[in-house]
Amino acid sequence: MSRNIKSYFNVVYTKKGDKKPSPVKSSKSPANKKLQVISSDEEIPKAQKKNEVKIKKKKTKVIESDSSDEEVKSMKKKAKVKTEEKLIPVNVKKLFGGKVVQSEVKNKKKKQDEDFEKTLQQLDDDFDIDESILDKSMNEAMFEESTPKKTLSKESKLKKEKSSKEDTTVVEVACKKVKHEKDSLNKDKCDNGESSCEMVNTPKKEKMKVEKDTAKVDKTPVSRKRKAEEDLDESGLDPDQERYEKKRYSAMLYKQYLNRSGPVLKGQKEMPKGKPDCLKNLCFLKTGVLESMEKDDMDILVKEHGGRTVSAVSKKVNYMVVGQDPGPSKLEKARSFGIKEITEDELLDMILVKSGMPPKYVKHSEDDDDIVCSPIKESNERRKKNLKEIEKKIKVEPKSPKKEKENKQENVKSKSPKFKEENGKVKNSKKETEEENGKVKAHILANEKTQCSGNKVKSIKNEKESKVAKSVENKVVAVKREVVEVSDDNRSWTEKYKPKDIAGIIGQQGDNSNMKKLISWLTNWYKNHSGKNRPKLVKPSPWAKNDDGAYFKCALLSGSPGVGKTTTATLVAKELGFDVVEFNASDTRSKRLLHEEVAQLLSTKSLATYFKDGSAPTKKHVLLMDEVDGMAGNEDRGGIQELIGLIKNTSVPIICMCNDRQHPKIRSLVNYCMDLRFANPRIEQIRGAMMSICFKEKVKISPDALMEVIKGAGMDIRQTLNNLSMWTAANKNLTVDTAQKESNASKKDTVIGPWEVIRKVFSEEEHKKTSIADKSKLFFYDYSIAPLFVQENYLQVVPHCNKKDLLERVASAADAISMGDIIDKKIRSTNNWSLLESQAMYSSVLPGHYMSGHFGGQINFPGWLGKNSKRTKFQRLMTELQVHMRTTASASKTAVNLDYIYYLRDSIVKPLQKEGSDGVAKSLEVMQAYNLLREDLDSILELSQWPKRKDPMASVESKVKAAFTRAYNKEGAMLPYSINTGTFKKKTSKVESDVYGDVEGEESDDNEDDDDITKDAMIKEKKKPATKTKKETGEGSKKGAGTSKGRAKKAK
Amino acid sequence: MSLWADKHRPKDLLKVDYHKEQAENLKKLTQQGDFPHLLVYGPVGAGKKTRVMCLLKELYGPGVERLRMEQMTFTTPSNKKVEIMTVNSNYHIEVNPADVGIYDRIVIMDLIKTVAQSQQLDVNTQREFKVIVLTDVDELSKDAQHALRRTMEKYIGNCRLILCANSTSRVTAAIRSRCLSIRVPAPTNEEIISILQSTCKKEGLNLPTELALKIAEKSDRNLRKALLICEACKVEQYPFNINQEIPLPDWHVFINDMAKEIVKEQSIQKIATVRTNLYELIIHGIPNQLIFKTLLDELLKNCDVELKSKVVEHAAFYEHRMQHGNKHIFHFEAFIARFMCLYKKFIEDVTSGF
Repeated sequence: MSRNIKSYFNVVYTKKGDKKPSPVKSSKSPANKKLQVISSDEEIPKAQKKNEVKIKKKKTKVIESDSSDEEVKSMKKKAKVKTEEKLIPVNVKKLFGGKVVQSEVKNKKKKQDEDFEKTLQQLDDDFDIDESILDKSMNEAMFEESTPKKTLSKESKLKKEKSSKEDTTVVEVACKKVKHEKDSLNKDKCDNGESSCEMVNTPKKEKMKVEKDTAKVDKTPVSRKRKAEEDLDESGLDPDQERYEKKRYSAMLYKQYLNRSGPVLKGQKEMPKGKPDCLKNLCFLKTGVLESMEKDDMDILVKEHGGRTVSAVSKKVNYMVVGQDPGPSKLEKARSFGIKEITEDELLDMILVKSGMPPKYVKHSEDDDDIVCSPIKESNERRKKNLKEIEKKIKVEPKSPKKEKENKQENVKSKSPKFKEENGKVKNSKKETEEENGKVKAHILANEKTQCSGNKVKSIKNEKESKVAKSVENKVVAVKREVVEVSDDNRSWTEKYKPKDIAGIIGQQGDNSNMKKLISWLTNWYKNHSGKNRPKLVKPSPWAKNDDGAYFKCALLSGSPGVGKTTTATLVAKELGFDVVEFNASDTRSKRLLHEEVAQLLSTKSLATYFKDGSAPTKKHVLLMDEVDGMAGNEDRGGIQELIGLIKNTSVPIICMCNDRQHPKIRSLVNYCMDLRFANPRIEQIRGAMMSICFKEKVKISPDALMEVIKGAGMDIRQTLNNLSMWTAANKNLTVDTAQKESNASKKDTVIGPWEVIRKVFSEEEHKKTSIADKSKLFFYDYSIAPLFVQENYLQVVPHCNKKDLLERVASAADAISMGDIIDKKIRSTNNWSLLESQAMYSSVLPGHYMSGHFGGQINFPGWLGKNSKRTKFQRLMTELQVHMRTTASASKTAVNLDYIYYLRDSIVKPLQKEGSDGVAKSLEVMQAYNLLREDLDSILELSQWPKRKDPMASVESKVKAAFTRAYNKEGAMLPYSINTGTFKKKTSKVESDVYGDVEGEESDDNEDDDDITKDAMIKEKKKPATKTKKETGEGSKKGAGTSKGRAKKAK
Repeated sequence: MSLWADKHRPKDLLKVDYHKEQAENLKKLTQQGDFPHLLVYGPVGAGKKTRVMCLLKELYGPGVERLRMEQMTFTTPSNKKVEIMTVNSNYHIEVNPADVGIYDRIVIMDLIKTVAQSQQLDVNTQREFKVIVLTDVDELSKDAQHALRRTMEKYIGNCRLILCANSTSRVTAAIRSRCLSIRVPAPTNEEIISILQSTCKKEGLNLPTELALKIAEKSDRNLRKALLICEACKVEQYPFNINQEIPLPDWHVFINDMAKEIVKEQSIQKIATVRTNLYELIIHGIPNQLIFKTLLDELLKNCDVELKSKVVEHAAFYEHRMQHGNKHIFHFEAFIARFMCLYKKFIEDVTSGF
């Protein structure tokens, strides 16, 4: 039986398309074959549908023509012989005779289409036509789908004249039958056995063909995973490699699975409401992504109608609903069990038909075509006028059977309405189709075999499609372009193609995606955070994986711009029916506003839905704080703190969004938020969506060019769209070259740190690539620190030059750097910032040029900064010291530093070193003579200390040191100057005060080390007492002066 | 017990050891009753401040020796508090405005105004003017010097200024013309020797003339330095020995070591180590010109005549740049790199000649 059917098909092919099956394999031009083999699963479904339609069309014709089995049988024998004979010649023709075909395409297509259709019809009717002619004509017709062959058209004209109106209607019927057939197929469950047999056979056949193809393809240079795999299968390479390849393949598949998109038309189709038990005893299985339903949706639908769904392939499964990206293993298994494969539409129609309603889903697509038909016509006319364009197109679209099929499909779709209108025979296409539907149904019901054949055809298609290359999709796009209505929508693309629902968000469809997390968090929010029996939640550790964020009252979405944070948040809120209150950077978000207004807003109910559809006002709010890192300036002062406060006490969920999660302002916020980091989607994820937009916008762009555009935008979806729309505004044709150029030019400026900058400044390899302008640009990444970095590190570079010139180069570089410093001074002292360019030249470009080479060591942070601050500290110590000594010594600061300090140190430390405790008195005497504090001694030691010199204090015993300090404190020298601690002077004991003073002074010393501000703050604090005690100081100093005077007298 | 340099400082104009004629002139100046602004300048350690103090004592009597210190606070226009320590007596105030860096202008304006605007209370017993002693005037910024210019004329009735500077080259002509310039030259070696010996006598020591000469030569005619060295020598070894080693200050030794290293090896790595040494010198506040000069002196010891001129040329070039630049180390380094380059070439030429 199965054999019969097979042969029957062959007959059909020979009759109608002559080489219907053969083109599949043979007509593929090498390039196409490659592509097909490469093809990922992603693109298959589209092609599938088309193929299905096509083949179904063929089938229906057959049905019409061959109503009796006998005829079929007789045909099949002939057909078999023919096909086998012709396989090879056709291949050859296809492979090498491509040009002929192309030139023929130029001819008027419409007429040809008509002719073709008619010939088909006639062939069905009159079987006796000379076979050789038939073969030829069919052959050509099939391959060039609508190429007008003169022989054929002649014939067809003859027949056309004969043929009545009925004929034309039949042609139309043929087109439309396809869909109804499917329905009928679905109805007939009892044919399962037959169909399964067929299915088992057909895949095999297909496989064989494909294998032949691949064998040919192998010769072509392009080789990719899949091809390789098949090669392996064929050539039977060593099993290890094979296993490895398999593993890799499955890993790839899994990746694809993880990243596959959601239903394209989710929620856009009206779900049928059939009889509750119409699917009784039926078992369904879903594979791939359906057009409009998630798995859950399908489960519900099927269960509602009495059926059941399973998730694994078994023999009990009656139908497998195949969507986009079907799992290959599932498909294979299903085929081996002979499970019928249906599309989503077929499933929906099945429900309708079984509950006695007319099917509408499959037809639906055709109606679409009807609607679209006028543009098609227009475009066709245009085509006629512009032959060149067509030529181009043909070149662009290599002849492959698939393409032809698709073209055919397109044509078939578009033809039917065209026909009607042109001929003026049919005015209302819809009516017509309805009538035909009836007919076809009857017809199909009468003939059970059709169903089998239908299944078979379908499975063939699936098989084929699994090999369809990505390029096929592009071709489809190219073909479809004419069909699409031109929208006069002037909105920017980013607005126009904004995802309408959560399924449309790119890169957020996985189970672990941020969107899913956000949804679950938001749905459970009220459960977790309000009501009496809310669970007690513990703050999860920041490293906990897969935390659902139940603890947090706020979600923080972070990620680079254009990845869809805001879109995700708004759509998720919409999806879950939350009312959104949004604040972004354009709103003032100061503490006050957040405190008053937000609180008010959140306590209200939204009437929006009430006015829309009368449902109850919502109480579910979500507060959307967009661009929280933009909270800056006086306007938003305290905004983050208030936001945190708000989060702590909120009664509604809050979603915050920011770009830079590491921003210091955000860091405090992070502790209160569920952290959702949006990574940039991968190119592949963006590309699909972009492709479809390009297609809708009639932009011709190759996938490679698109890749470039996406890369250029740095995976920023919004940027990609904007760039695309700009670059294609003038020319709808975007080539790889221009795309690359443009995207290079538009590449986002990435900020690189000073280390990277310095590496580039001195790297010889970089120099080869960069112009002088680019080199000087490096300086401007941070022009204040760049010269320091250059100076610090230019000695680390190993210049690629003659060893002799080494020092000369270093000297030149140093010279340039010193010149750069002069310019720097000029810039900063005169505010002449226009000199910055020159500084870039001297401070960065020239040293880079002289020292061009590679780094021999680590790149260091400029030491100048640290040294400079140490220098200022020393200066301060010196000033202090000089001032303290002033009454005795007349030396200026420099003199103190250069001369005094060493001798002073020696005169203080030497007695301690030599005489130990006995020298303490001597040392103290010097200290007092110069009015030095204990810490002045320390600064003296520090200032006079040079590297590689022994610290003189180190050789003093710690016992002596302690004795010295004690003696000093006890002595309580009266100083002619007030130490910073005026307050203590009020105390009765002067000695005490000085002791305290010392301590205090020491402390303040430490604090003041580097920070002038703290110094000031302290002064402010103590200013008052200082002035108060002025008098006292005067007295004190008088006394001090007295002693010094006395001493002076003594000296005399 | 203070060091000799301070202990034996003359307190009276008539008791100074050298420039006696100048001292007499100064004494006469004070006796006239009126008194112009003074600009006292001369090298370090020549005795400028000693003379100024003697002059003040001549004017006001011993009361000026009752020194006290006061912290003064000023507020800049940018609301930054600046504080500066002043040394006061009842009759004069001494301040070094350069201590506060770029805010010196505020110090000068505010300080002079407050001092000058108030009259002396008891005109009979005292002079009718106060004296403001400004030290390190050559380090004042241009702004500060301009601010000084006007106030000098405006408040001449109530106050006199005595400006101390090392060199007049950086004092604007406008200020120079408003002052009576008094140059205090450094003492000659002979003068230093006699002072050293008289000081030692006061201390009860005996200083051989040869050693005194040695010390005088080492001191660069800086009397203070000479006294300090002398005292250090005494601490080191007494009784004095003619061949006694005279210790150099540490920073000088440090520069000498650095110069030796530069001459020893010329390579990128050496430049890097020299850089750290230079940083050390700069941190320690050794004046840049001094570093340059000392280093050059040391380096030139290893050069022949032709090379010397080249090296000096480059040194002058980079020293000049350093004055115009911000970050001195850059220019030091450029000079050292250039020197190494020249020196290596020179050595190679010499060795290849044989």
